Amino acid sequence: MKGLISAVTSSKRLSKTAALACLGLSGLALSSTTLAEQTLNLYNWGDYINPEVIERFTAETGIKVTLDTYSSNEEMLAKLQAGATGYDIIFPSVHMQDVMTSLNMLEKTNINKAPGFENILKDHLIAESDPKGEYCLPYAWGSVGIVYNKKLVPELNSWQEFFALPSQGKKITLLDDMREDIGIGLIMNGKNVNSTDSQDLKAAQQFLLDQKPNISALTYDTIPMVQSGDIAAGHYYVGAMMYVNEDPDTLAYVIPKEGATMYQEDMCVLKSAPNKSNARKFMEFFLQPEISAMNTIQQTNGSVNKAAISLLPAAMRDNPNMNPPVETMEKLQVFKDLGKGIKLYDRVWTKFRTAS
Amino acid sequence: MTTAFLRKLFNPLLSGYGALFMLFLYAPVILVVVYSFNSNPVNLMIWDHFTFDWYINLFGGDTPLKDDISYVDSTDQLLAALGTSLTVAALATITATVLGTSTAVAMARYRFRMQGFYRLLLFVPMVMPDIVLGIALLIFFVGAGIHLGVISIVIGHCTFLTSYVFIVVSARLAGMNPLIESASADLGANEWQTFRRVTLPLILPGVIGGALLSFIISMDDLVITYFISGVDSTTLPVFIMGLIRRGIKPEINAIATLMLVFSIVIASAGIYFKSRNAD
Repeated sequence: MKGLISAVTSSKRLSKTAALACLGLSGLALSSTTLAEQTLNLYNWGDYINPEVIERFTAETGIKVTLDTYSSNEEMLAKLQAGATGYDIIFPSVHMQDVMTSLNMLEKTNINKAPGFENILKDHLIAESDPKGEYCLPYAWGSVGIVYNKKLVPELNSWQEFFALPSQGKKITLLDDMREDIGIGLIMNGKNVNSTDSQDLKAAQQFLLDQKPNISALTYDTIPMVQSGDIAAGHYYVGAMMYVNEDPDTLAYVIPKEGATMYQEDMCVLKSAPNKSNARKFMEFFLQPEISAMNTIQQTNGSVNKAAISLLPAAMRDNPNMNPPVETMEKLQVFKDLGKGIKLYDRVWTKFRTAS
Repeated sequence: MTTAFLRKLFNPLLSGYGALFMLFLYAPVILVVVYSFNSNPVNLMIWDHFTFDWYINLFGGDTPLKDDISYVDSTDQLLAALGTSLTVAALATITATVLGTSTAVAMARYRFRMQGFYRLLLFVPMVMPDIVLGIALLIFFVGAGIHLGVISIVIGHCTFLTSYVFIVVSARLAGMNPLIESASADLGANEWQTFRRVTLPLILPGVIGGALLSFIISMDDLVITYFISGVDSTTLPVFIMGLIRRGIKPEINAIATLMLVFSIVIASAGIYFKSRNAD
């Protein structure tokens, strides 16, 4: 990465002549953006915002919004680090926000002083680099639990019950994700999912290796298999609720009582943002409970805004797996960037993947 | 007699193998088409019932799908991405075809220093890994201060599409008798007239074939485009890739089916023009 950055800066110095040569072309390309007066450029995960929210924002403020999409944190970081500019607001996961803060890529917005910020649940100000919300606005979150077929498994509440299913001849799957799977091993041993202690990881590894013969697959295609009954239960994201709502007689989603992991994305403004004041306006707009709720309902994920939660339909608000009570929230852990500690995880993951 | 016997034995085996090979090649494509008629709004792999709704949706019609709470409406974005893709492909194809054809003619008709090396350089963008080319182009555009957008994608695509056109047109030129051009000159035509009236009509099938190939490759490119696309210039493949986390809707299958039909038309036209003997 460092090489990449220095390559960018040195090519900046070297390419003055090239820049001159290209001035004509870039002028041509630039004119299209500078002519439009008020714009805001969002860079988000695919289908991760309700288009109605954007329409409402444009209708109220007259600011034209563009939306481009990415499919992973790393992809987004790589592109921005190589020097792509023009984007105002990005939606990194919490650990990526920490990375980007340390790379000095995020703008301090003081969004915590904005009206309505008092509605943001303190449980969701979890970025280590931004404990007070001076930079980013918590956007949405979700847990990673178990989705199961109610016709095969009438009730499921814990990881223990989940891992006991194979002994009754019922199949289970885990996600094909290193941090998530090792996270289960750590949770089952009562450890932190960001532990880099080799004893903790050894215990997690032992747990996973003991389960390995019982796990039918490591996969993300859990929903169709559970819905059809090929698999009784699978490790999956809260996004499963979307399918559960569709087919409530067959499917159910649960946050296991031992605890689970969670993910969260925050709304951040880039240092290189060309429309910082419009970005700030969008953040303030999104702080309105009504707007935040509108987004949560369409996305079927977790809300970080307590005033918005009260506006949710009862089916979402009163579902302990979508809007968990405090006791459950305390058992959800979020991943952090591990730095060099990730090597220990790599080793456990290889052992687990290759075990039979 | 033994060869005849062997042939008798082998022929059915070979046909069977051929049929299996084609099945392997086309089964996934057929699945995409079949599932584009699936009415399940959230999970495209579970068959609900037959519907044309996804196609109606794409063309702006009203369907009951929009009332489904779990359906995420991003048709506008999808169509915008398709529009960007078509614009980029059209502009890149025109530019690459002009550049590639003139390069091919120059390489075939003139001798100059380091010609072999130059020819080699033309092959490099085709064999270079996309990710390397993508990052390199991004760093170049940023360093040179070129705004990332439709224009940068077009320039980026031209870097490798020119090579494709060059190769297709070169092959056509190699099969052409250079004496015809000399004859044209003998009859008093200048170089431009010779190119316009003699060379171009003869290599036209190659030029059109190269252009159609460029168009399809440009429509299809994901990795390079991802890096060099800027604000509001998401192309269709980049958009579809972005949907991975949320899950892909049958709507994508519908648009894939339409593109497939479109590709088959273009590809057949390409094959027709490439194989047609110039009269």
